[in-house]
Amino acid sequence: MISVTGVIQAGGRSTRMGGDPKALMELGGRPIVARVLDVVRQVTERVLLVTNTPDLYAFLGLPMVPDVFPEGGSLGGIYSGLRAAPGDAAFTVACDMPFLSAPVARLVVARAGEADVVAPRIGAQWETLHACYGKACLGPMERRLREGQLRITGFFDEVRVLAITEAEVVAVGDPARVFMNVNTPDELRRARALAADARD
Amino acid sequence: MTVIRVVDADRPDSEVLDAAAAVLQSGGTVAFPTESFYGLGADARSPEAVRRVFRIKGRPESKPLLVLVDSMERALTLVEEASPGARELMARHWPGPLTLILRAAPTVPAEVTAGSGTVGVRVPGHAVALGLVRAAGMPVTAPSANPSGGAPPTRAGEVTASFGEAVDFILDAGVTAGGAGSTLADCTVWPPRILRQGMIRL
Repeated sequence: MISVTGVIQAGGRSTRMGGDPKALMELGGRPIVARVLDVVRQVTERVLLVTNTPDLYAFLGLPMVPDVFPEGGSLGGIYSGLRAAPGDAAFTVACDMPFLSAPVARLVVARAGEADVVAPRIGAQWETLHACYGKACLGPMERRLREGQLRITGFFDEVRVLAITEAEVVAVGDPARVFMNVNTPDELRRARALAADARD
Repeated sequence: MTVIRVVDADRPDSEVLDAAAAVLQSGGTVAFPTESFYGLGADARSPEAVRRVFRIKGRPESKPLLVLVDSMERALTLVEEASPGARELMARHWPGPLTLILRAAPTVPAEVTAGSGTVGVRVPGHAVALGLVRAAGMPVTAPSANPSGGAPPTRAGEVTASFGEAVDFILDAGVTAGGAGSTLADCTVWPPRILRQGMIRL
């Protein structure tokens, strides 16, 4: 059994919400990032957070590491978390996904030992910010970051990749909801309405 | 003046995409990353906007332009007909680097079809390209953003080096993968004729 660390990505900039980090917006009376943490804690023993603004997230009481490629987009954050993570692999999620689901997260984490990348694939789209990355990804990731090739899926042809199929996800959760991220005030309103409907 | 905005290749900020989309909506041009190269976008419904793309590229207007859309539904509004086989290819490979050439609807400007009566269309798999097309709410041209006959660019800096200030807006998401470009499948005949074997093997 391999050891997986949960990694929450809270790097990057948020200008859309007037500069307030999206992850701190409240949904159902709690910051979105706290909802994310609830789920990640259910599927991994250790959790760490990648951020360059640790003061904002100190209230979570998590170990925090900086994004060592701040100009590297999401790939830089994933690399930073994976490099710092104890164990063999990092289950990486974004901090702005308010409806993560433990059963869906478990589908990914449970198969972490089977490939270097384990990620849901919905239609033609990889859910790269709800995925397990093994330490073998560090080399290919770093090479691409240094070349400025920042698309996460870019290194997938250099490692072993396992897709969690849409059918497997649908059996335990609604992909449109589980993988939703809140990027705009409109999306936040929509998410709040969804949360109210579900009373969660 | 060219506005250059840095954007995450996987999770582009919607504020930046909206700003680029507004440029397209007002008839301007936007260079943006696709799965392979940077493309040169303009409103594909507007003959004037499309002519600007040809002028910037110095491209002979005898070659048709490829067009990006945000969904299969929007693709179907641009074409006269799509066979069940073509629809199956769309469902299986979109979003992704497979361009289908189909008979163009009469509403598609002659500048796009270059008198061929056909249009090449796809839903892009790059989050920035797809986000831009979605935010703009229109079909967007996507020839590679280089002077006609030159090498297609994989960096925003190469676009400014070639075009100076001629492009209104550049979405800079780092270096693109390069390679063979999208696969071109002529679906006006069946089975389709592969005009270019690109990133998707058919």
